[in-house]
Amino acid sequence: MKKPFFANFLENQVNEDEIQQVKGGLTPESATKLPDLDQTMKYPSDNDEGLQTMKYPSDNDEGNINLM
Amino acid sequence: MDIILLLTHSRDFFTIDNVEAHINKLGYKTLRINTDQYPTQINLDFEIKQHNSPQKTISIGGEEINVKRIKAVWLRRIWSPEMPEDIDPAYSKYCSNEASNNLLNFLHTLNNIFWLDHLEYTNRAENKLYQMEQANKFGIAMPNTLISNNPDKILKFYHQNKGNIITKMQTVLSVSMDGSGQSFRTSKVNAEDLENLSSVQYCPMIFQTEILKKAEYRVVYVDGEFFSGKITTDTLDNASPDIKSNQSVSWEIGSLPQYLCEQISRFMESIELRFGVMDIVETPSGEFQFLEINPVGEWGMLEKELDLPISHAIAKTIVKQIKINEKDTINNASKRQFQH
Repeated sequence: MKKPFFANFLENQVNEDEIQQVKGGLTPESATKLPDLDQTMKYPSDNDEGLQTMKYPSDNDEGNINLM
Repeated sequence: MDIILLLTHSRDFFTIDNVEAHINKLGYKTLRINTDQYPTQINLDFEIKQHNSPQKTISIGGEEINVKRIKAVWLRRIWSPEMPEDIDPAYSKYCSNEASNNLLNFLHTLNNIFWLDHLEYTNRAENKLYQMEQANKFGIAMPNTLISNNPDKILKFYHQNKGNIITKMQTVLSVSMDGSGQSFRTSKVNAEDLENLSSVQYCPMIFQTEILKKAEYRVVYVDGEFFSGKITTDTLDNASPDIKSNQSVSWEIGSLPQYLCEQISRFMESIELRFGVMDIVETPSGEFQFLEINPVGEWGMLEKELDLPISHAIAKTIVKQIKINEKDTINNASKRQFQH
């Protein structure tokens, strides 16, 4: 399977986070569940700076009723 | 009593509470809508009868409010509905989409009152390409930038910048139920990364000249007023190009040069926003470089850590605009009377 260019950076970021967690005595999360990467100094809810919490791409693609 | 509508979500605190308290002190009632609680705990009704103006009401906690009483809107956040778990999953997603759509449509009809800031302009300003294009028009300095999925152009950009470039993305990778998003951290592009560069074809990225930081500023603009906090290199780890990866930071009051404030004011006017939160970097040689503006960016930490009166400025701006609108309405009415 092909991976986009950003995947390489992302995988490194996850690894760094796991190393940090080990240093801090925490159990590293499994690679399948990506840890929350964006720990920042903001307040109160720095991970949520977008106006709308919508998934990308558009949520509308997932909205069809499928009774089959 | 006139009402100011506050659009946010159920997990918001501090900033929303402070703005609400200031508005109340200024003599206005507030109506907080936690947008994730529509449609489950909030009712919106829009009713048209032939030849009559529409009746629009909002009901929360047993209270029904005619939207005619709403004189202004503070747009902080709009969240997707939180649907109960016991709804048939085949229908739940559709209900959520329909409700989100109806909420936005309903809000769009509140167009004769003041918004800080209007949905349309807020959405437009979230476009990173648009904001850079506009900021550039007013001479605001920013890093050389390439947004592309073209490996050849990116390689050329890398060499032009002598290998000192960073990369980032425009959107969060996922959004969880608590509203937190998994972000892609700003990363330095190293020579070995370029081996896989052809795979950028599948997903565009932002590439920028890497900038050394003496300080990183978070600048909150409220209707011509500037509130700035900065983090200096004492706490800033220059080894990491993403300030967000620095866990413990302490804020200091920052101040921008006058020419930059003037440029930003003209930029804000051009994008038709009275509120915005900017990330700006000061280089070791004292130059200021604009990174981005977030029209609903976070500022609670600046008010909390530095006592910057941002919530008060927001409340003042809203109330001032209500009074201007009232005056205009009276003036227009008397003009019409005079004409008859």
